[in-house]
Parts: sequence; C-alpha cells; structure tokens
Amino acid sequence: MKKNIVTPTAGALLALIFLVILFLYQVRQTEVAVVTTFGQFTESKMEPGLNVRWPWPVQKIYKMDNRLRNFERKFEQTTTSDAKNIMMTVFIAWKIADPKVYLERFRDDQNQVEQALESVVRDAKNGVLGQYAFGDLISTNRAKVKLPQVEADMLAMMKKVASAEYGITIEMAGINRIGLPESITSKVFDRMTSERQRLIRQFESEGKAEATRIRAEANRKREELLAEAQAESTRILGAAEAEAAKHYAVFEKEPELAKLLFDIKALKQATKDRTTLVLDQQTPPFNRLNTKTAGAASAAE
Amino acid sequence: MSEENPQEPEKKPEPFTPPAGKKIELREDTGSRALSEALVSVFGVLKLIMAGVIIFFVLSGVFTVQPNEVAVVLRFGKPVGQGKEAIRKPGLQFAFPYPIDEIVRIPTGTSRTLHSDTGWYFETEQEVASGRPPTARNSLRPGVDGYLLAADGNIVHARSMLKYRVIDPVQFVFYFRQGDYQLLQLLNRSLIHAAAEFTSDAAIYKDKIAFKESVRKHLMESLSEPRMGIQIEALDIQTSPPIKVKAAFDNVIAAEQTRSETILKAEADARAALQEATGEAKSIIAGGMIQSNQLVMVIEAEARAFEAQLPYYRKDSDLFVRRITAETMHSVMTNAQDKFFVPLRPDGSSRTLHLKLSKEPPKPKRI
Repeated sequence: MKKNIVTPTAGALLALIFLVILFLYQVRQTEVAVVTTFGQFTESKMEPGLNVRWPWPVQKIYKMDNRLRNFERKFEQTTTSDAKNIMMTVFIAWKIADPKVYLERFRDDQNQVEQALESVVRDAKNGVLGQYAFGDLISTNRAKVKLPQVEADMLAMMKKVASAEYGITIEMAGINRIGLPESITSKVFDRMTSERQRLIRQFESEGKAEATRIRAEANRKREELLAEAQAESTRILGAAEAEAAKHYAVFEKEPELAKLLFDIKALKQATKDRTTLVLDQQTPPFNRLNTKTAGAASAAE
Repeated sequence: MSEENPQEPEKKPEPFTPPAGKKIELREDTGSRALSEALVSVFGVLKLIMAGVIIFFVLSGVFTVQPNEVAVVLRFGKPVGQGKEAIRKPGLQFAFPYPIDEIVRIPTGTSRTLHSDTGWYFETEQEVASGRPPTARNSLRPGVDGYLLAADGNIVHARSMLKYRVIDPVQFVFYFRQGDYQLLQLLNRSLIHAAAEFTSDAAIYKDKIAFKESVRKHLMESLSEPRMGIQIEALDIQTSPPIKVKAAFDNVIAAEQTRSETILKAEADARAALQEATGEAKSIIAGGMIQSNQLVMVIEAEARAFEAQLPYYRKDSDLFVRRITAETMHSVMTNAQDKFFVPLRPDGSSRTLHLKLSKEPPKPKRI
C-alpha cells in the first residue's frame, strides 16, 4: 500500500508554525521588550533578536519603541533671575532606558508619558531660568551668551528626574523658541522705531561732518601745496637774483650812466599804456616853446 | 441417520458470470460520482495553489533595491551585518522570507528639504500666494507670529530652508523615531542661538553671511551628538525686520545711502581740489622759474647794453644824455594817450591844475 506523505508533512509544518508562534518571539532593532510571567516582571530584552517564551497565558510580551523620540513643551511664559518675563519653548529627545520602570509607570501610554515629561520640562525650565538673567540669553558680546549652558543645566536636571522616576533617558534638551509677552513686543517696536530715527539723525550728521572734514583736509593740503610751491618759486627767484647780482657789477663802471638808463627804462615802463601827460613850458624840450626862456635856454646850451 | 455419499464432493458455488451477450446494469448514484470527481479536481487545484504558495514564500526573499534607496535586512529583528556591511546597495538582493528576515527600505538618493518657520510671521495662504506681507500689527501674538530675539533685544524675523541627504541610514532610521522632526528642532534651535549673538542690524542687513554661518555652525555642532547620519547640502536663510518697523528700517538704509553719497561727493570734491591745487602749485613753480630766467636774462641783456653804450657816454656824456632823453621823450609822447600842455602864467609862474575824478568808485572785481 502506497503511503501519502503530503498530509503528515503539511500537518507537521502547521504544528511547527503553531509551536514557533507560541514559544518564540522577535525583538526588532527599534524595540525593547518586557516579559511578564503571570503578570509579574520576569526580564527586559534590550537587544534585538529571537527569544524563547512560555505561551500565553503563562508569559506576556510587551514591546515598546526604543528609538529617540521628541517632545516639545508649550510656548509659555517664565521669569529670569532679574524678573524679566519671557516666553520659551523647550524640546527634548528621549528614549526608554529602563523598560520595567517605564512599563510599570506608563504602560506605554503616550498621553501619560507626555504629561509626565511636560512636568519634568516645566520644572527644569523654570528652575534653571530662575538662575540666569535676561542678558545671559542674548548679548551683543558673544562670550556672554549662556544659552548652551542654560540648556545643559536643564538637561542635567531633567535627566536626573526622568531616569529615576520614569525609566527614561533624556539625551538632548534645547530651546527652539524665545519670545516676549505680546504687550512687550509693542514696546520693542516703539524702541526699534526710536532707534531707527536716532540712527537716521546720526547718519545724516555723520555724513555732513565727514564731508566737512574731508573738504577741510583737502583745503589744508591745497594750502600746503600752494605754500610749498610759492616757497619753491621764491627760492628759484632768489637764486635767479643772486645770479643776476653778478651782472650788476658791470654798472659800477659808470654809475651815472647806469642811473640814467634805469630811469629811462622806468619811464618807458610807466608810460607804456593809456598815459596822460600834463606838461608845462618848463619841461624839456617844451621849454623851447617858451619865447621868454627859449633864448636863455639856447644860451645856456 | 442420514446417509451421505462421502465420495461425492461438496459442490462449491460457482462465481456468477453473466450470460454471453447480456449486459448487467450497475445501479450507481450519479451525484456521488460527480462529487467524487469534483473533490479530486479541487484537491488537485489545492495542491497547485499550495505549491504556488510555497514557491512564492521561498521567492519572497528576492527583492530589488532601487537606485535612490538602500535596504537593511533584519533577521529575527536584528540587522544582518555591522555598520556599512548592513547596507544593501541598489540591485538584486536575497533574504530569507518573512518572518525570518524583514526588509527595511530607506530612501537616500534624493535630497530632503526642511523648512523652518519658527521665526517667521504668520501669513495666510492668500498672502503667501500673493507674495505680499501681511498687514502690520502693533504686537506679535505668542505662538502665532514667529520671531527671533536678537542680541540687542530687538525682534527679527527669519526662516530657513535646509537641504540634506541621509548618509547613514541605519543611524537615521533605527536611532530616531522622527529623524526629520528631530532635525527641524535642531534647525530651530540653531536659529535661536545665532540670533542671540547678532544684533538685528547685523542679522538683517550688515552681516547676513556671518549670521548664516553661525546658524550652520550651531546646527553642525548639534548634529554631532547624538549623531544623526545626515549630510547638509544647502542652508538658506531669509531675514526681515518686523513689518511694523520695516519702513523705519528702510529709512535708515536711505539715510545710510545719503551719508555715503555725501561722503563720496566730498571725497570727489577733495580729489578735484587737490588736483587743481597740484596744477596750481606746478604753475607757481613754473612761473617762478620763468620769472627768474627772465630776470637773469634781462639783467644780463641790460649789462651788455650798458657795456655797449659806455664808450659813447664816456666820449661825450652830455650829448649822450640829451640823445637818450630825446629818444625817450619821443617814445613817451608817442605812447601817451592824452597830452596836456599847460602854459605858464603871464608872470611866469606855474598854473595849478585840479583833476575831477569819476564820482562812482570802481566796482570790486569778483574772485
């Protein structure tokens, strides 16, 4: 009699699948698992892989996402150490550190987790900001800006609480929004407008002052240049007169002739243009026109 | 007692054979037969389906990784391979069927883009579409109008666009639940930190490049711990003053322009004046040289003329003087425009002349 092997094989396969489903479970790379036996915690599985279990109802497996998650606190008001009201949003990146504590505390209920984290973040934000002045958050002197330090302090405070009470590790905390109460923003606008008007006046006066300075400087340089040129010209002329003085020695040979020639030259120069002459009968040679003196003049000659 | 013939064998019943030439009709249920045949067919089909399912199950581990993605194979939930070895590159790949292996596809080839509006004012869709800013408000609403606080306490608006690529898919996908959102938070944080170090003027106008670099620096620092496994391709930042004070900012820019123009004009005037002065100075020096040359030449010429006339003077000085005087008078009288000859009084004394000058004084010349 020929045996049919298909049916038993299929049956065995189905039985195997059933047993695998009952006794094995996977933990994915992105998960952690908690195993409970009759409701009591048995173990946590932090590493991915295939694991053995007792079937339900003996053991129950709780799987939770173990990746870094984000949580953002609401944009709400807080106070700095110098009593300035500011608005701030703080975000954190967190993940499960102790699945047992986390499961017992929250049962992986996101609403409960967020409520707990909101409290942790608020406490840290208010506590830390109360130690810093407004000028530590923003400053024109970059060395005085302490935002990274504020974040580090908040992270340290939050880590301590979250790890001990919630089985959560907070890996990052940051400030992603800083603002002012609405009523303050209008005052900031007024101040900014005043600043702009002051800047406008400043630029106008700066422009005029600078232009005046530039022109005065140019004028000074101009006067310097001209004075230097005049001095140089005088020096050249002086040298020329010294040179000319050598020729004056010639005139010493006959000073009377020299005087005559100089007078004649001066007279010609003086009467070169548009000259009006007023003469009388005594001016030579017009004295010859004087009949009374002409004879005497002739006799004198 | 009955007697039986022991010699006579007992007759065995003979099997039934139908008479030759006669058919016996078997009475079988037609429905049962049809059902039997149908079951046989169904079992055949089921066998085929099962064989198909088994073949499909075995072949389901064969998959293709597209050019713009990589894949990671999880065996019983754990990545196969460590680091780069865990990455399955584009092409045909093999894995065991689910649930033994699980294929996780991660897009990498294309750039991803993030927009941060945490520091930007609220705009309706119509305003965004029209490109016109919204009407200026006297104040900013918390949680609605985004803005940044600058180092000088002023308010500035800023928004940014970040382009990035995932270069370590295992880290980006398996370590972060919402990698994109985490990155957006870090980008917002970088804007806040950069604004806290720059004045509003610097962030909006004067030092925009440095402001952008500061945002990039803060972002790069925050990406290192925890490592996100991305590469930044481009970071664009747009800054703007609050709408309420934008006109005042524009007026400052105009005033700055005016200041620059005033200074530039003064500088141009100064350059022109100096060039003119340089030319004038050269002219003075040249004039001095010409004058000195003339002086020397004239004196030299006069000295020569003196020496030439000296012998004649010495020969007869009186005649020489008269001759020279006559020549001079000739020249002077010729050049003179008006000549008045005033006769002596009858008693031989000179007359007194009165000159009437113009009543109007001459106008001063303009320089």
